[in-house]
Amino acid sequence: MLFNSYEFLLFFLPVTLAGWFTCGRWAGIRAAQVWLITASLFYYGWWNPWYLILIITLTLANYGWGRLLARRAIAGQPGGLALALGVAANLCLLGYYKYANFFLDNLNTLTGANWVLGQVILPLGISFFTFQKIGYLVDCARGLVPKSDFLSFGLFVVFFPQLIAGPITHHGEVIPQFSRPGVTRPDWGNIALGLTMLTFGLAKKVLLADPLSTRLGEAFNAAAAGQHLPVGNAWYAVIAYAVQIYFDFSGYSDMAVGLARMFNITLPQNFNSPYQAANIVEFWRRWHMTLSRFLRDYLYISLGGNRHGRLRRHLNLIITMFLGGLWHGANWTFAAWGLLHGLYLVLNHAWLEAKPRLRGMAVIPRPLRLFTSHSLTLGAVLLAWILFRSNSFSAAIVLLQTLIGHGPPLVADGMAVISEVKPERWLWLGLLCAWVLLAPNSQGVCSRFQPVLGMTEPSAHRGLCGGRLLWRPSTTWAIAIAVIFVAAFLSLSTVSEFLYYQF
Amino acid sequence: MNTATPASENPARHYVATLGGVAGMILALAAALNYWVDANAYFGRNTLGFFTSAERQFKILGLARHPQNAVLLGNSKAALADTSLLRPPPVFFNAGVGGSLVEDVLAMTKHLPHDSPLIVVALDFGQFGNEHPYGENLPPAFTWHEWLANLLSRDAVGASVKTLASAVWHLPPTYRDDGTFDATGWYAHYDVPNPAARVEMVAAHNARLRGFQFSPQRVALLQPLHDALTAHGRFLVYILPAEAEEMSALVNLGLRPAYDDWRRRVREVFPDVVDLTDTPFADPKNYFYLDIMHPYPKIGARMIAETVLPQLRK
Repeated sequence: MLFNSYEFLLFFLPVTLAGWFTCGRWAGIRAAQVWLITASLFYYGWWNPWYLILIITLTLANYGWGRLLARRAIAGQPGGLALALGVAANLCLLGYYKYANFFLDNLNTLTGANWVLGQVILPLGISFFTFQKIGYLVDCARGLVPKSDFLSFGLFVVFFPQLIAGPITHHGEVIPQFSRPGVTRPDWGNIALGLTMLTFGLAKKVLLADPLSTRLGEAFNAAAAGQHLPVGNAWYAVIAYAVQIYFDFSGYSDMAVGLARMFNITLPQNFNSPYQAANIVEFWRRWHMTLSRFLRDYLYISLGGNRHGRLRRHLNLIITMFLGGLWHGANWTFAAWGLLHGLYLVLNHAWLEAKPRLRGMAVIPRPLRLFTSHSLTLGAVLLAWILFRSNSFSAAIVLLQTLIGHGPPLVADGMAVISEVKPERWLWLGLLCAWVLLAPNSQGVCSRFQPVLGMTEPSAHRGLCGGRLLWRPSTTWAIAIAVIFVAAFLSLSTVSEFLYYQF
Repeated sequence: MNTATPASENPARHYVATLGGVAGMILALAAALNYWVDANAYFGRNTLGFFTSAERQFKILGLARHPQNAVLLGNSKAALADTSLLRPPPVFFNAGVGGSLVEDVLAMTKHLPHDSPLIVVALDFGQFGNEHPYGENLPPAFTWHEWLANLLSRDAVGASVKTLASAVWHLPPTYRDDGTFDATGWYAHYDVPNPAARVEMVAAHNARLRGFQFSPQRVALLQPLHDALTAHGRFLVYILPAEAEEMSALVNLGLRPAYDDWRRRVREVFPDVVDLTDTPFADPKNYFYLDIMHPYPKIGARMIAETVLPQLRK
């Protein structure tokens, strides 16, 4: 069941919300939690009921293992081996479902063998909830989770707004919210804010991201088939993909934030206008922020972080980004994408260290410096997206060659001719680019009411016409959001999955 | 915990009520419009005519609605034939559907009215290819998802508005009551003397033919089609010609032997079939300049009048 579907918006959401408040009012918070867990499992099982066994077993096992680790930590007993076992079990399952065939394919290529495993269906959201549980286990072993009840932990894992594609929540920020007094009481302020964020996300997905997919998909497919592609189409495809994945994923995150808020739960911020970053380090502080946080806290720091000298720090960064890339999918193109970003980060850190020593920098006017740094960052990110979206290195290379006018020639004997992208599509893409590069994001517009955890200062968004464009529960805003909602709702007839569902 | 909410409950409650009210009102209006216009005839109410690509719905509905004593079945090549030019009797209803494969033609026989004494079936090799997944491509099933999509989708609103506007401006519907197609737009798009565009169109068409293979599963449907038509009553079958340039592409791609095998199989099942392959009807001058797939509507009618209907006298 997708957020952008009739069954979700018309049936599942109203029924689940009503059940949460009703149970909370008449039967107490425990009953409400049971209801929300049941509803979330129903939401998950809608895709494939058999995988409910997996998620329920994993939730029970991780809770039990986490409590064991926490007790040992409190008692001062070493929990290293138990933690390693718990983390390894989670990673093994993720590895089996996500990488087993990838591993076998590579092994077959290297050894010339022909081992076949058969089709392994990737359980929805496993990449996301595995990371959440690993974080929980690690913190239990560190003695940072002295107590947590099972129902709150269960909701931390299966709470439907964040179950399939994040944000990757941290137990410390959401578990306490599920048992906060008053959490099951309807809060019109939260419902208003939640509906607004939900509408922003829905509109981003179905009105902005989805319409871009046809022409860019056609271009990437042509590159994969080694076919001729007009240069303009190649550029359109690369830029449009960058815009599409941003609107698609940040749209999903907005919807998750909005949905959770209706239940009086505040989720962490996942996007903060990443294409407005002035350098790659900043980009990763703004793009898929909860994944960056997890990688930093549980991988980069575990590898040693920046504690063992510059060289080791750079190596740790590259390893972290390489694994982060591979987390997105079982394909070397994802690993290469991560590796490339790792190299970007290393270069960026080296530059930031060297910059104070460069005396000539001061004479360059600030606007020019800013323009250059923004452009370089954007160019580097676009280049990396080619690897991310292409299904093979050869497809990525064909697209890169096409971008510089050296793509495959036009076959005269009648291969399908791809028509050039029309000016009106370019104009629309230009408007979307201006939006992502200059406009405030949805959290910024709603910053007066702090829609997400870990948000930047609301005052940073006062520049919206002196704060007059900031959202507030007014009649004008209600009518505007209603119109946007209707426009998005009327576009739901075509089923369109979120891009991050495949990861 | 950083969970600030709008300070006062009242403005927030008013906001939610306004948002819900306005959104609900617009959606209700859209639903009412779509239900009333019913451009795709999904709810069985269509009264303003068919202006959209609801061809399958319209043809199925029209078979029952339109008084006729002959029906033409086939794909777009048949659908474009202007059967209104055929002098009565018989009075035709053109039930040809663009893109219909042989399984669709077979499915359409289930909708034939019992009082239709003559069925004419146009067979085209393209209906027997393997490039499309097997399965009847019928109008959307009456599921709740389709019901909502027809009631509350942007496409449905667009079709309703277009239908309404066309009715207000007294524009002719895309389909006439007798199932024939108003080809005005087709002439405007595809009968333009632009040699460069024709080269591109022919090349694109030939590229599509490159992977063409006859599907044994579809060819095997000839017998069930014969049985269904026999059960119904009198019928005539003819093989549509491939335009000369299309035929030379088939020859160049080495597909002619398979094409001839298919014709042979059709003759085995339908011994009285009228085969227009390689006849003067395949002359490019009988086809839209930029669309070598489709003969002009009057040529489509002539094929039936001059070669198919005379079989009735035998």
